[in-house]
Amino acid sequence: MAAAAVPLGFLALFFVWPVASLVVRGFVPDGAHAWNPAAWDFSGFSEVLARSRTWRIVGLTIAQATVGTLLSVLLGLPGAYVLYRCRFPLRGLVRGLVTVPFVLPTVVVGVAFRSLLAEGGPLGGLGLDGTFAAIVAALVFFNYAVVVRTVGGFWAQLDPRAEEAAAALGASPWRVLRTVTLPALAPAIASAASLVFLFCATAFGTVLILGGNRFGTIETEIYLRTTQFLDLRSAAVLSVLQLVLVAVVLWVSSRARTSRERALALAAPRRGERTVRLTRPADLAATVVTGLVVVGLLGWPMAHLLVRSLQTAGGAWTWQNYVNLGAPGPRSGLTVTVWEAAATSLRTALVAAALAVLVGGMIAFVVSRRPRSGSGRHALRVLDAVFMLPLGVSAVTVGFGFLITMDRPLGLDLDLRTSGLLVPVAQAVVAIPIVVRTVLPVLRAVDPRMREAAAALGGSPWRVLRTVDGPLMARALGLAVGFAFAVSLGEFGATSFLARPDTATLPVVVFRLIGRPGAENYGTALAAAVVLAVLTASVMLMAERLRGDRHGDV
Amino acid sequence: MATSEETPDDARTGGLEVRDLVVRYEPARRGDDAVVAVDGVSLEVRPGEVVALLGPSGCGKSSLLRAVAGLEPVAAGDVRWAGRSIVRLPVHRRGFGLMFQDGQLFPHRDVARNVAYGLEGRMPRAERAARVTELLDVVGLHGYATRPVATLSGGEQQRVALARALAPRPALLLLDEPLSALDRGLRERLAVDLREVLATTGTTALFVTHDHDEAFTVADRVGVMGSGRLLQVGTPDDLWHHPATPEVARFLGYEAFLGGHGSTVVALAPGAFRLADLQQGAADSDDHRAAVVRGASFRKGHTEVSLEVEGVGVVTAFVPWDRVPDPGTAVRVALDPRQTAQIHGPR
Repeated sequence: MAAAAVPLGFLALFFVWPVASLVVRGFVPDGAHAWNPAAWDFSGFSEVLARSRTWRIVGLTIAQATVGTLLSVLLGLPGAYVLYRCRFPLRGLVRGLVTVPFVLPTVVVGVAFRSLLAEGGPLGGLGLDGTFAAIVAALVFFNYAVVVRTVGGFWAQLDPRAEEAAAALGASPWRVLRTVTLPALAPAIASAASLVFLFCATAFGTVLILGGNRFGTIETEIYLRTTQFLDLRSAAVLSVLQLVLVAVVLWVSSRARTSRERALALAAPRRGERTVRLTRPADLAATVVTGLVVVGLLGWPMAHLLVRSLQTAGGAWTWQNYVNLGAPGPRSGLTVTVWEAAATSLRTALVAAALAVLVGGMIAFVVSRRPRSGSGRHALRVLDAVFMLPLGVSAVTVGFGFLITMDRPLGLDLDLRTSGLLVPVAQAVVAIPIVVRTVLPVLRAVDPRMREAAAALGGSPWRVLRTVDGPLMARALGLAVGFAFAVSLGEFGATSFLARPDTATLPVVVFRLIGRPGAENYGTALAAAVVLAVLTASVMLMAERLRGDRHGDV
Repeated sequence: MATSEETPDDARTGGLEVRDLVVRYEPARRGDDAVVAVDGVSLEVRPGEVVALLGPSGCGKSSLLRAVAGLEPVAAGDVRWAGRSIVRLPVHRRGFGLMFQDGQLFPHRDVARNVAYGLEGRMPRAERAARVTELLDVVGLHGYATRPVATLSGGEQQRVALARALAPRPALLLLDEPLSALDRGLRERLAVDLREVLATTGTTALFVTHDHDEAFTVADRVGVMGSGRLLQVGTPDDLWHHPATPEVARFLGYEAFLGGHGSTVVALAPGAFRLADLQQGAADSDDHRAAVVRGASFRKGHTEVSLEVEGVGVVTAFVPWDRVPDPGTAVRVALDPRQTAQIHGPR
């Protein structure tokens, strides 16, 4: 259990303390001492909860997440079938392309959807700009891959003989799907759905860009309260509300997840694969739906973003937007070029990914142990959930919490805010849960008897870790590095608080540019978004190459 | 507990000694009772000896093996090696070999590097390579060194697992159902091979199985376990001819029982009854009983006929294939005393 101390310490210092400080600050009146609970003032709760705006935001958050999750699952199931249960040419490429949206920075997606839906865009006539539908479409864009990969990875390993037995007993394909396949997939679907719900409920960048003034989540509301009104009390109450929401979802998802990971075998044969047959109505329907989603919902916004970045406001072809990346105009308000910001992003993300993989790998290792005692198992379940909390706590809260605590971390006279380490640490905190979720299933699938065999051959615990767990974990770690890198590259919520003007990262620059008037700034923002998307996608595709086995996971 | 093979205390020099061992599992839920998997077992394995633990699944034999390996904590009792208690010694310092039902080969290492695992850091590279080659020859996998383990068949994987376990010359080899995952023909062949390998390498071994043929083929002595207790220990021959209780007899394959004189029970092996009126008239002796043919199934070289014998129950008789009676036929049967065992009770 000593291995738990390092990640626990890291999260205590860089997650619990900043977030708790921010929340506490919301409840302590100016001048009172934080350690004096008698002076705490909880009137903020009743005040914020009495506002109709609060309930509208909570309702919107849940509604967006619910509709987004339902649509992601409904569209993702046929996708999982076509991409993971059927063989067709270029399948690997399509699988990779489907994954790209999930790691695309929220800012990029917001800009892409807006360029599509805004007046003058190809869908401008529909009047969808700044609507609920636009937000939901963007959420599905992100989370389609989560459903396809989680359910698909599970589906690929499902023994087809149960389905064959049902068919032999006279069940129609529809009945087989309903009575055999879907129940077998249920844990994977539940796990994917709860993750998607969590991602939708805490969406920030996309909602901020697409929602305008009328739509928001608890997360964007915290951002507005802190940055525009300096209303820390409301922000603190909203943070607590979000924590409650996240805790409920995490509880549900952890229940769905354990049953799924137990069922995973490390090297299950893929007997269920077959060539897609368009003469079967089910195959045809699934293929058509998947094709429409991949081309229309995933492909089009990205293609349109690319095209628009190569055009002037009037529609003429030009390189000018990309030229501007190296020399932002005086009206851009930037103190660095976009290329400099890109370099900052890469440097920061590299450090963040290293930190996230180190800490996340340790967490996965600790949580994957199987203690003999019931109380030990119970403790691990609690730890597992605790380590997942950063997934759901507002990145904005983390960022702002950093800002108010890291001037004197642990009372030391050491201002981390100027050290340049703060941004990568914050990004690492956001990326850690993804690393854990990627590595954990692989470690859990290692038969404990393999470690026992190594120990019986004279392997000390450290040698078993190095020679058995290590190599088996290596491939998953490659993917985890990729995910952590991509998440850090695109991280916006916390970074927007912490990055100083001269160390702005790419997403921060894109957001600043679209916030400023002028067609030139807008064009530069589009080009910068394309650069960011290309960077992230290349990192992800490289990581995907490193990955040998293709289990479904986040 | 029948410990007919017990030796006097002063004769115990070396080998494995298990004394009144208890292994408990914590309850799955708080408030439930702990599961007692091994309930006070004493057993010894002398140097060079191969002992098999035989019993149905859930009888505690694997838990006993895991406790000896150091993989399960000992709740009570003692495990001693060469006269010293090893209860507190961690697995990797015991110097025992361990082989599982499904090999548990390291998928990221090839055959040679799997076998070399227990040798790394203990001897120079050249010596290690020579030892690996030697072991692969012993288990009949010459030339397999660079094969990825994923390309091996189940039987080959078990051979690699055996070579890997034997490579560091373990003081004691522990085998947990090493052949159970294989199909029947392969299992029989590998059991013979396993016996040979253990004999040529002079390995002391404790071997867990639920298959009595396997236990009888491989082991010098066999211990029969049931519900966490050791019911009887003896040589295969001794066990077969003198089962201590009807429970042991039934587990060894005796299929019916007759009341004998006093408290004695006669256990009947398959083939204990022969069809009598095929050879001679229904003339002599009280040993003849009435029976009805229930069915027949063809086996290698003979036919197994299922008979319902009056006052005994359903038993199996072996009949030449050209003399198989039709189902429903009433026949007379005679008892062959060589296919029976006396069990003296009550216990």
